[in-house]
Amino acid sequence: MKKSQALAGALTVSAVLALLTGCGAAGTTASAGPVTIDYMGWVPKADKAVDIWNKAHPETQVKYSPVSNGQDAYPKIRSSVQAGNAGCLAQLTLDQVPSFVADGMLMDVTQYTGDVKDTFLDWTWSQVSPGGQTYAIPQDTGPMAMYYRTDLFEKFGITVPKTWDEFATAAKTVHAADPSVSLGYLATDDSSTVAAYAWQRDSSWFAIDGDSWKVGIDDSASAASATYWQDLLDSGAIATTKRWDPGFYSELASGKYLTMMGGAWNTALIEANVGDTAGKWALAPMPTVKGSTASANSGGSAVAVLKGCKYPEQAVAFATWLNSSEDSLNILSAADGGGLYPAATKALDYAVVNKKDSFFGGQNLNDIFRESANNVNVGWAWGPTYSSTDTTLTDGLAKVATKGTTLPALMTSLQTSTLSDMKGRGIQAAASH
Amino acid sequence: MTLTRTRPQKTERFQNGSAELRVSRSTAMVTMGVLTLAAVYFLIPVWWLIVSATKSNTALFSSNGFGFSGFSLFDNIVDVFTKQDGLFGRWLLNSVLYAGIGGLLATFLGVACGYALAKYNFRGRGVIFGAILGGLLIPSALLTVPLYLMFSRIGLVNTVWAVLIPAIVNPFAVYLGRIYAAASMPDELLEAARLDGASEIRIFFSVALRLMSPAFVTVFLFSFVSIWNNFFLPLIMLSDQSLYPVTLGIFNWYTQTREANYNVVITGSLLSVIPLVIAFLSLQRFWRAGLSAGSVK
Repeated sequence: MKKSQALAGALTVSAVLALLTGCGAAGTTASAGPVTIDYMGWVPKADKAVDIWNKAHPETQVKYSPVSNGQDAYPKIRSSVQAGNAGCLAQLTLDQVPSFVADGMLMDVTQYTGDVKDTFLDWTWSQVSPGGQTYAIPQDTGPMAMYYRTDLFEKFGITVPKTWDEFATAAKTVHAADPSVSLGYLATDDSSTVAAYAWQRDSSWFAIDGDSWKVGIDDSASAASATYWQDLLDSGAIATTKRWDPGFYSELASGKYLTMMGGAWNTALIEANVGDTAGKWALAPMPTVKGSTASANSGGSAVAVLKGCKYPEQAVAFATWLNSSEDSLNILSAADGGGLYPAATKALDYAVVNKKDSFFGGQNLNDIFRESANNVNVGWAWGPTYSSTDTTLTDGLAKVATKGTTLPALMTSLQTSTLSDMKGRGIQAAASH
Repeated sequence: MTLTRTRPQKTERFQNGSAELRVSRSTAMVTMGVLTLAAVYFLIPVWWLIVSATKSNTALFSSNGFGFSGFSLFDNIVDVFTKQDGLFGRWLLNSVLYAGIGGLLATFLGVACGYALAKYNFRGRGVIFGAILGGLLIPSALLTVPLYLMFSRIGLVNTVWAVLIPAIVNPFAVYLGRIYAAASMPDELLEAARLDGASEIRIFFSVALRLMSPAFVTVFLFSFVSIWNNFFLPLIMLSDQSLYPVTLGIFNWYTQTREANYNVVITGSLLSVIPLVIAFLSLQRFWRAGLSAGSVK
C-alpha cells in the first residue's frame, strides 16, 4: 500500500516534471531504412506476437516494452508523450481513450484506418473514436460472466443465481451456513467492475448532447446498483477484497469465494494462479437485473497511436494485424498468453477462442462470453475527464472498504467532482437528470 | 529452547575468569531471549523468501507460506533468466555496474575527502565538514527530483550516468572517511613521510590509503548496499528497461498483474540478494575491523 502510494507519487512527480521540461525533445529524421515503432503494453506474451510481425515485415520493426498493468502505467505513458520520446503505440483501457484524446496525447489516425472499422465490434470502434475521429485500434473486450465453484455450490446446496436478487438470497444462505466463506465480494481496487455494474443497469455516466456532456454518475440506475452492493456489504453476506493484490489468489485458492464476476480476460489469471482448483470451476452468465438480459463489459483495451508518432500509417497497420489476425491472436488469446477476448468480430470464431477448457470441466467458455458481448448495452460512453474520475472512484472505493463512506454517497460525490472537474477544464457539462 | 539453556552456562564459565564481565543468570537469559527473538524476526522473511522461491505460481497461493509444497526452484530460475529474452541477467549486470563502479568511486572520493578534512588544516574546514554533515541529514529521495530536473536539462536522463553520477557523491562516505582518517593515522607518521620527501599525493596513496584499508572496505560495503538497494532514483531517471537495475526490474515485473508471474518475481528477488550476501561474507572481516576502529582511544 505504502509502496504503491510512493510509486504513484513518484510517477505523478515525473509526469509533472515532464510537463515542465519536456517541450524541447529533439526528433530524429526519418531515414530510408526500416522504420522502428515503439509499442508499450501489458499483454503477457505480446513480445511473441511482435516477433512474428518483425520476421514478416523487415521494413517495419516493432519494439515492444512491457509496462505495468492499467492505471499504474498511464502516468508513465503521459510523461513520455510530453517528453516527446513515447514512440508510437501504447495500450490503453477503453475507458481512458477519451481522456487521452482530450489531453492531446493521441494522434488522429482516421485517414489511415480505411475500412479497418468493419473488422471490429461496432461499440468498440465508437469507443476508440470519440467525436467521430479515430485514435486507437480496439484490442480486446471484457464481456462479463460469473466464474463459480461447482463443488462449493453443491456443498452449500445452492443453484446458479440468474438474477441479482437470487444472488443476494444465495449470498445470505452461504454466509449463514459458514461465515468464513462468501458467495462473492466487492473488489475495492477495481473501479471497472463497479462501473460495469452500473453499465449493466443501463446507467449513462457520460453522454454527448450537442456541444455539451451529460453526466449521470448518480443517475437512478447507477444509484440502484450502488445501493444493491452497499446493502449486501452491510448485511455482512459479502465482504470487500482487493482484487489486484496477490492475496486475492490465496483467498480464491482456499475457496473463500464461491464466485467471481469478471471480464473474459480473467480466465487466464484464474488458471495460472489457482491451478490446484482445476476442474472445480464453471462459467455461467452474470446475474441480470430482473426482466432484463443486459450484460456488461469490464476492462478491454485498445492500442492507441500516440501524439508524436512518426509512422502512423505503419503503426495502424501493425495494430490492426496485432488485434485481428489469427497468427497474433493465437498467442494473445491463448490461456497462457493473456487470454484476450478479441475485439475483432471474425476473431470470435477462431479456434483459440473456442477451446473446450478442461479447467472448466470441458466447457467452451466462448458460448457464454459471446452471448454476454452481444448483450452489452452499446450506448455506454466514457467521458473526457474519466482519467481523473477513475482515480477519484478508486480512492473512494478504498474508503468504502474501511467504512469511511458508502457506495451511494460515493456516486453522489463522484458526480459533483466530475462536473466541477469538467467545468474547470472548460468542458461544457451538466447533470443528466 | 536449547539455545537459551546452553548459552547461560557459557556465561557462567566466563564469570569465573573475569570479574568485570560478571552478569547475572537472569540478565543473560533476558539478553539471549531478546537476541533470539530479534534473530527470528529478521530471519522469518528470509525463510519465507527461500521457501517461496521453490514453489510454482499455483503452489504459492494454495499452500502455507512457511512450508514447502512441490519443488520448482529450477523451473523458476529458468523462467527468471528466459523471461523477456533474458533481461534479468542484464539487470543484474547493471546493478553490479552501478553498485560496483559507483561504490568504488564513491568510496575513493569519500575517503580522499575525509582524509583531507582530517589531516589538513585550512580555513573553512569546519564549515565544509558541517555542510557535509548537513547533507547526511537530507534523505536522498528528496534530492532525486531536483536531480531529475538538472539531468533532463543536460540530456542525461535515461542514461547510465543518471544513476551512476548521483551514486558517486555520498556524504556518509566522507563522514566515515574523516572519522577513520582521524583515528587510524597518527600525524607523526605523515610528518615522517614528509621529512622523507614524499609528495602529498604519494603520502595519500602509499601511506594513508593503506592504513585506511579497513575503512575503505567498510565505506565500500555501505555504498555498495545503498546503491544496490536504491529504488527511487532509477525509478525516476530511467525509462529504458535495458538500463534498469535489478530492483526496479523486479518491481516492473511485479506490477504486471495481468501476468501470472509471482513465482518469477519471488525467485528473482532471491537471486538478486545473492550478490549482496557474497559481498558481505567475503568482506566481513574488514567490515568488523572497520567498525571497531577508533572505538578504543
